[in-house]
Amino acid sequence: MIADGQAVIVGAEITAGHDGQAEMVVRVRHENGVVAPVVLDGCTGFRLMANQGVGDLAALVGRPWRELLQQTILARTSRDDDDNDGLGGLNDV
Amino acid sequence: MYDLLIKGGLVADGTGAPGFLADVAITGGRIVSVGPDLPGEARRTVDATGRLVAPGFIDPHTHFDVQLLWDGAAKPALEHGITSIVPGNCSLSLAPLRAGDRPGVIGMFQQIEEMPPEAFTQAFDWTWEDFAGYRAAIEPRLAINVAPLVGHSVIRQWVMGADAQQRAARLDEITAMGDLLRDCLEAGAVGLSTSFVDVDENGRPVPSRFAAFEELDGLCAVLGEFGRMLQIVPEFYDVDITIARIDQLADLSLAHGIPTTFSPVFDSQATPDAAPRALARVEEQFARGARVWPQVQTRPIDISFSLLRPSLFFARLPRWVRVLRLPLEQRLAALTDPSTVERMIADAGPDGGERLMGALIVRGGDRAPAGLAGRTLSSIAAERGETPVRALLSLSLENGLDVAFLAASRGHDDTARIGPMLANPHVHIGASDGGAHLASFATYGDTGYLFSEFVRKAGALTLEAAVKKITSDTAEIWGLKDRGVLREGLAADVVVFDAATIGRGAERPVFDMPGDGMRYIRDAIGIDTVVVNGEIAWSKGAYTDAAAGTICALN
Repeated sequence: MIADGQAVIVGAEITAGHDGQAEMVVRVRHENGVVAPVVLDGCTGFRLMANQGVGDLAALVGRPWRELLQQTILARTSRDDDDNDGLGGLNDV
Repeated sequence: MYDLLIKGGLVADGTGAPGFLADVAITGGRIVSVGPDLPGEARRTVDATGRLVAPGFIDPHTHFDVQLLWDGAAKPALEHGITSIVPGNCSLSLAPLRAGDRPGVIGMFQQIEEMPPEAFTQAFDWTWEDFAGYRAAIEPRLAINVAPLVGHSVIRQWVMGADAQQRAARLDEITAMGDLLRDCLEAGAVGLSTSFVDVDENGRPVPSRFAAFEELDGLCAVLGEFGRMLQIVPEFYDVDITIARIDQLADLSLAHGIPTTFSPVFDSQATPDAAPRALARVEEQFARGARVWPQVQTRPIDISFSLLRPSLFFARLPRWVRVLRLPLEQRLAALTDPSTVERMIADAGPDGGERLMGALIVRGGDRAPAGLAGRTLSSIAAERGETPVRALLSLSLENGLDVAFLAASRGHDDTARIGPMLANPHVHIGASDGGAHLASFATYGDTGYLFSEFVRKAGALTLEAAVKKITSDTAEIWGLKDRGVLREGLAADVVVFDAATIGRGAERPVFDMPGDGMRYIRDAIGIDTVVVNGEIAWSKGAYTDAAAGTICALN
């Protein structure tokens, strides 16, 4: 999935956070061409992957950032609970 | 006759000047002479031949507020050569605090420090509410010097009660906060700390985060009456917001004539432009005359995890993510299902997970057999006749998943980049977080690591420059009177160490917190003697009974 003319994810990596937990750094290319990082904590990172139905960081590349932001951060709902993450259940592993 | 004579060492006096062979004579807690072959007798003599003699190190970012109530040495900070600490960072201090507000603030402390609840119920008596009372509670047993910050969150809590975590303050409340801050500063507080990041144990923003700019400006006006420090935790995960905070700090510094400092500043390969951009902005603000000191830590950041909770460490292994995100019962079922396990093992690579997981270290302090703590998964796997990935799974399952693993140096770990940052004259070496994150990682030994990694290995700083950075520079930045330099008339805080070996030991779990609570620590390496206000507090691997620490006098 490649989004044109809007802010898109151009990379995602895992890094160490201040508290020793793994965090996700998403690199976003904004509409004006600027590429800037956004740091997500573990829970948010998992939700982002779940909402996009991806299980691999590389699959986030090309995804529309604004849409993800709305789904993942701004519209957090009970659907995003840890136990109901959309990544699939026991039958999917 | 001197009280103490430290003879024959190479003196790095804290000014950055080249080291010189000299004796250091001490009487009445003060340095009375520094020079070669000093004449006269002494009640005690320390032979420093072949050793470096330096001012005691100063740690400007700690959370020892609670620990100081039963441990006046802030162990193990003192044995690492640290003779003065700044607690009360990140908007949290233990005073001023009304009795009725204690539970809420305890929750905030537990969130940051990860200290067991027994620390607050068994280890000391709450004898104070105001700042002077807290000072009186810790002062008698101090073996280390303390320059305490007062926390913005507790000042807010005192004035606004429950509203402190709900809204901005009214003008009358800002005035009341200013009056309260003034009382704290008069009682010896070195400054005010605030946070734009921290949360309490329920995930709610701490009170300081509800402050409008007018409130911070009003409190800084009070700091300006004393010329004292404002410490903040900015939104460090976003460099653009951090830069905006740097500009805000600069304006406050210039408007009120105060020093300011912020932490942490991390370097990361994932965001390689972030730290350089923040430091560049700092340089611009110093050029304007502002004092905005970024604190950069020396130690790398590790990732730790267990299979009890999902970790993004496995984000490149989709099947692992799915399994670890399952509810515990289903997760255990998956981890014992042969076909699932075989697929997970296959995902870890044809080398049996050696590349991905072989270097992981079993941390200990949990249900893992104690003998495995500190060992790599690769070596444990070899001993068990398993691949690393199978060893990770089986070790975890054998111990109820309560086995913590550590992936070392996953951030802030590029010595070639960090060395020049530490050497930058506008960078403040700090952010150790001593006394916090107890169950997550060791916050001790950063000074030893400065010498082992950035002086000896990388040569990013000379020995004398490194000493200056963590002694006189720190004392000057914070306005600590009479400390940070080995000079006649100043306080006799001295560390004697082996410049060829000073470092930090491996991280290890200990159970020395109240209620047998666990924390990770690191032992000191190469530190011979630590002197606080003229008294030997640490010598040849052991603490003494000395309790000569004090609340630091301020300029």
